Amino acid sequence: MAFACRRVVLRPVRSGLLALAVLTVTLPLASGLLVLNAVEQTADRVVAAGPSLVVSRIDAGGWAPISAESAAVVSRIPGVAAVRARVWGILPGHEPVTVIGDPALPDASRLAVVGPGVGTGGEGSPLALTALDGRAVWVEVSSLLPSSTAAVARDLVIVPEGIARTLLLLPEGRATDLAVTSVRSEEDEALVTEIARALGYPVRVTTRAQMRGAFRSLTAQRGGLWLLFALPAILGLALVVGQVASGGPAARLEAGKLKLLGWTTWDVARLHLVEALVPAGLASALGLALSYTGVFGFGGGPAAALLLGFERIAPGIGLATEGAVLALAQVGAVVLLPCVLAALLPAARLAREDPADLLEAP
Amino acid sequence: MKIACEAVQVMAGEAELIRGVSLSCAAGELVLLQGPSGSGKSTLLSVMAGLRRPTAGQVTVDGMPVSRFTAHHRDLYRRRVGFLPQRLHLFEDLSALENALVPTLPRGGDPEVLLKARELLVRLELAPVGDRPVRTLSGGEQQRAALVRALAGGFEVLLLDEPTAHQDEPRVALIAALLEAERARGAAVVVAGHDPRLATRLGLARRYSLSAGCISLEAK
Repeated sequence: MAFACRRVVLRPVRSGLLALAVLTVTLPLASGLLVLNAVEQTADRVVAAGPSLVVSRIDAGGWAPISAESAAVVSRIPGVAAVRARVWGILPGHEPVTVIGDPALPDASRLAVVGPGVGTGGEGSPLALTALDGRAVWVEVSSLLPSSTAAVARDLVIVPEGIARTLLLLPEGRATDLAVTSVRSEEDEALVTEIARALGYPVRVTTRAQMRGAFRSLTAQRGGLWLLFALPAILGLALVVGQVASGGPAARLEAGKLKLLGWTTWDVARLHLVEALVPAGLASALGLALSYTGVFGFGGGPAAALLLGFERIAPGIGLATEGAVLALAQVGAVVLLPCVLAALLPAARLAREDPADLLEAP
Repeated sequence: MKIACEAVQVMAGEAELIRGVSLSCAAGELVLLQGPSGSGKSTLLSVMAGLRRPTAGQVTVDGMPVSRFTAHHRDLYRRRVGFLPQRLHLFEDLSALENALVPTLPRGGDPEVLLKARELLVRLELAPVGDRPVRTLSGGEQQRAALVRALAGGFEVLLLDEPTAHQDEPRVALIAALLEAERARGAAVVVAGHDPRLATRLGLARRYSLSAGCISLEAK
C-alpha cells in the first residue's frame, strides 16, 4: 500500500490526469442524481403531509369553483375521515405567487405570512398583491417562512380567507377544491368513484398515489436522460483509466521487473488497483462531497437548473436528504467500477505472458 | 537446494538460442558459466530463474520440474531465487535500499532483509548513496545496487549474470568474497560471465562453457 502510494506521488501527471477524469464524471453525475432524488423525496414528504385525495370541480372550461356544501356530502361517504374546503389559487404577474386562504386568520387583521421567494421589505412591511381583476390589495407581512421551506413554500402567501377570496374572485360559499382525508390509504382508489357518484357533477379526484406518481415520472424521465448523457462519459472514463492504468510498454516492462522479483500476477494487479484507486477514490470522494454541498447547501446548483428548469434556487433550500447516501454510493460505484476493471484487466492480460517477454518490451 | 538443467533447448522463432544444455548446481556449490557474448548465458539464466519456459528439456529444483510449473507457481518459485539480470531492471525512481526491499513488499516487508540490505550496502560501498534514486548513480554503483537486491533476501538459489560488470579490481575482490560467503551459507550459486578476475577468485565446483548455444564442462 505504501509502495503504491509512493508511486502515485512519484507520478503526479498520471495520477492528476486520472483524478481529473474521475472528478469530471463524478461531479455532474452525482449532482444530477442527487437533485432528482432529493426532489422526489421532498415531493414524497409533501404529498404524505397533504390530503389523501383532492376533489376539484371541472366543467367545459376546465376548473370551476366547487360549492362549500359539497364538503358535507363527501364527508358522509363511508371511509372519509375529514373534508376541508380550501381557498387557494395562483395570482399571475411579473412574479406569480400562490395565495392560500387561512380561515384561522381574522379578515380585519390583513396579516400575511409569506414564503422566502416573495420579495418583501421584511416583517411589518406592506405587501401589494394584484387580484385577478387587476385591483391592488394591500396586506401586512406578519412573518416570513424560513428559507428551509423554499422547496414547497417559495412563492406562498398565506392570508385571511376573506382576502384570498377577494384576490381570487371566489364568492362566499365557494372553494377552490376539497381536501379529503381518508380513514385508510388503501381505500383511496375506491373512494374516487364513491366521491364522483355522490357529488353528481363532473369532478377530478386526485389521489396521493397519483400526485406522487406525477413527481416520480418527472424525476424518472429526467434521471433516464441524465444517465443517457452520462453513459458516454463513463465509457470515456473507462478508456482514460484503462490507458493510464495499462501505461503501454513502460508498464509491461515494470510488470516484468516485479515478476522477476517474485511478485505474482495478483500482487501486480493489486498494485495497479491501489495505484488507480488512490487518486480515483480521492477524486470520487471530492466529487461526491462537492455535489452534496452543491445540492443541499446551495439549493440544487446548476444540475437543478439544467434538469428541472429551476431558474432561481433559494439558498438553504430544504431538500430532503433521505436516500442521498445510497445515491452517492451508487454514483461512487458506477464511477469506480471502470477504474477497478481498467486496473485489473491489463494485469490479467500480462499474466498470460512469460516475464522474459515483458522484460523485452521496447 | 539443487538446481539442474536437463537437455534444455530454447527456440526464438526459427532460431535456436540454446541446444541440449545440461548443468547442475547443488546447495553450497558455486558454478561458473562462461562464454562469449551471444552464446546464450543470459537466456539460460532466465530459463533457470523461471522467467521463460524452455522449448524442450526442463529445469528442476530438488527434482521438481519448476520449468513445467504453472505461471503462478513459477512466480512463487522465483521468491526463492536471487537473480541479477544482465540489464539490472532496477526501479529507477527508488533508492538502492528500496529496490532491495521490493521483492518482500507483497508479504508486507521483511525486517531481516532490511538489515541484510543495509549491511550489504555498507560492504559494497553504497552506504553514502544508498538513499538516492538509483537513476542518479553511476553504472558501477547501479550494478552493485542490483547485486544488493539479489543477495539481500538470503535466497537458496543465486543466478548472477555478469556480477562484476563495470567494477574495478578492489570491488571485484569484494564481490567475490560476498559470493564465497553465500556459497558457504549453503546457497547454490550460478555465475555467468567472462570476467577472468572473478573466476580466479572463486572456489568453483564446476566451470561450464557455452558456445553458440551448446554447453561443455571444462576443467576447473
